Amino acid sequence: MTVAEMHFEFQILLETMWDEFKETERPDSFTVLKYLNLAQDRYIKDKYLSNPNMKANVEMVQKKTDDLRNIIKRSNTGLFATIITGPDNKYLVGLPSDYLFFIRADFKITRTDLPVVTNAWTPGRVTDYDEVSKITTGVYNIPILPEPVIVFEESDNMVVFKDSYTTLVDMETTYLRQPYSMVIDSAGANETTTCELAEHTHEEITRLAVEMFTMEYKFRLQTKNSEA
Amino acid sequence: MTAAEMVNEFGIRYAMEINDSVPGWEDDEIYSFLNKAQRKTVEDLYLRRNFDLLKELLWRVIITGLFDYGALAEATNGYYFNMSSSIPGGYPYLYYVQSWSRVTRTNPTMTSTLVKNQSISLDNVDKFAVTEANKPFFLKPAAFFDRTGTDEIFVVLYDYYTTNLDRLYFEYIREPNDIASGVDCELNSSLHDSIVDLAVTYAIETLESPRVNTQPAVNQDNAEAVDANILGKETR
Repeated sequence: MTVAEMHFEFQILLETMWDEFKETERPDSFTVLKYLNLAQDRYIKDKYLSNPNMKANVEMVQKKTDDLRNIIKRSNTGLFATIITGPDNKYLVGLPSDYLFFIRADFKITRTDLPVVTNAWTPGRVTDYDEVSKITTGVYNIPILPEPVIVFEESDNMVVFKDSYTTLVDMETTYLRQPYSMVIDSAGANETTTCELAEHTHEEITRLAVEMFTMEYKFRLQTKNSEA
Repeated sequence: MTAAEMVNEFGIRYAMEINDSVPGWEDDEIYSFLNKAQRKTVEDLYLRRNFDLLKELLWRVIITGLFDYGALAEATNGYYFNMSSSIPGGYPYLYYVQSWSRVTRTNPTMTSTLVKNQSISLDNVDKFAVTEANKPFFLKPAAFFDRTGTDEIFVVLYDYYTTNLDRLYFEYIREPNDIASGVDCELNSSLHDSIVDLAVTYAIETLESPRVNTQPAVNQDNAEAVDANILGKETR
């Protein structure tokens, strides 16, 4: 469905619910688009990112890549350049500005031992914060990490841990980017005239948008009545 | 019923209601009551908003005028014409019934398809107008009247996906011809009976009207006041 078609669907659903939405309480297209965009965000959050921990969410996203393929982005441009060398083999990597959710990361590494490799790609591993003490190189802990380990520690950064035998050469991240704002036409930068999620989700997103709109409408109506 | 038959019928029914001592009415006066009753009948039927009934009973006075949209003034996503200067069909306009537009559009694709216009309230026009913040979607062009001063403007708005409106079919009730000697009532014959009844009611109401009853007294008072005024002036 194009965004215009989602707009029609939204309007038709509203009109079948209540006659007032045909004219008196008819929302303008700006409002409709606002709810469609909100619904799209909520749909992604509820459907793919609602698991209790990050690992489960990553697995869910990997399972549903077909639904999300248009907003899956692979990038190494600039990522490696932003790596800030930290102490104890810990590196802070700035996340891209359109980042929404992590899927995977691959690292080009050179190792001097266990095993010895030169400029070879290897996938990184995501772990929970409680494992940080085990993977941090310190006076009493010299871990062996065959692949770099990723922890999300700060809002717009991820922390990459490596062992003392590894040198990071390059990095490539695959992530879920924020979906473009839906507009009816004349799409500018970061805007689209077709919902980027899979076609079969469009109907559900539109219904969710209608539900969100009518919920808010009922609330407004109640407030208005109680004030009167 | 012909006009003459209606007058006769009026006389019979009026006589049944009123005693013989009350004088009757001249034909011109009876036609005046009949025309008043005819207008009231049209108004009552119109206000019932039942188009089938309107078409059935008032078909002789319902006019469909044609307008090519190209000949009309253009507004943002709409067209309009001034009812005060250009009534389609050229008859004296009384009430709007409905209108249709020939529409060419996308979503869904239509090419010169006849679509009935929807009537909207002036309060809600902004919801149908194309602006930077509103790219509305509605399949039926939205029609409304905007009355300012002596002008009565009929406006038709189309949605963001309509590419062309090429013809307007404007259906309205014109004023029926006045019933007069040799000019019969144009409404459906099933209404004639009730029109005569209503005319009789008006005639009786006129007799009972305080205005009629007090008129001589008022006139007399006025005459006395005028006399007094003149006398006063003369005394001075």
